[in-house]
Amino acid sequence: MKILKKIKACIAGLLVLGVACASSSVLTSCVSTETATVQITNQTQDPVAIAKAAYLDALKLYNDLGERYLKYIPYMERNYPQAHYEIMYIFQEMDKMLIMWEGFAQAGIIPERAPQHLQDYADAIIALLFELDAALEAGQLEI
Amino acid sequence: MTVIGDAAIVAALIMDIISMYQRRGIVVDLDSLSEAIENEKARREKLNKELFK
Repeated sequence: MKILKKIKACIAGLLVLGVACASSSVLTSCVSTETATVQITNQTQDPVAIAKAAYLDALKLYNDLGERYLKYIPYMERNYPQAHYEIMYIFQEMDKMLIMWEGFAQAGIIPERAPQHLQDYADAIIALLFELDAALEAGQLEI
Repeated sequence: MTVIGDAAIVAALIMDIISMYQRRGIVVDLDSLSEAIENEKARREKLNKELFK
């Protein structure tokens, strides 16, 4: 019994260590990169350049998110069409927003609250996936 | 596929997206800004062809 307890304690210790390492790695990598908006703002006060940088960040967020989702589409379409439909709707809204945003960026304008709205859309996709994941873990197949 | 298997796939997608946030940075300056935008626009066009086909 004592050996079993020691093994359990070792496993718990390793788990804690693993989580701590993962967290520190996340924090380190988060602070080592800056958005294009921050980088350009540090270099100039030109509103056109700053607006373009904000547009670049928006494009990159959309592309990164879309490319990651792309490989899961066949799986999501087949197994969770409702969640997939909702996610695709969000991507369409993000895309529409980027079309509108481009014209503003050329004029040196960051559309009001647009960066936050785009981030909210991205967060909504992640929230939908978390919801799906939780439902699966709980044994409920519908979300 | 079992429910556990499904949960693992969805969890993998979530982890994939979270790891994207860690690597989101792009190195850009005033000289390379326009080119970076054009590159991302081309990337978006290519993505949309796949995403909305």
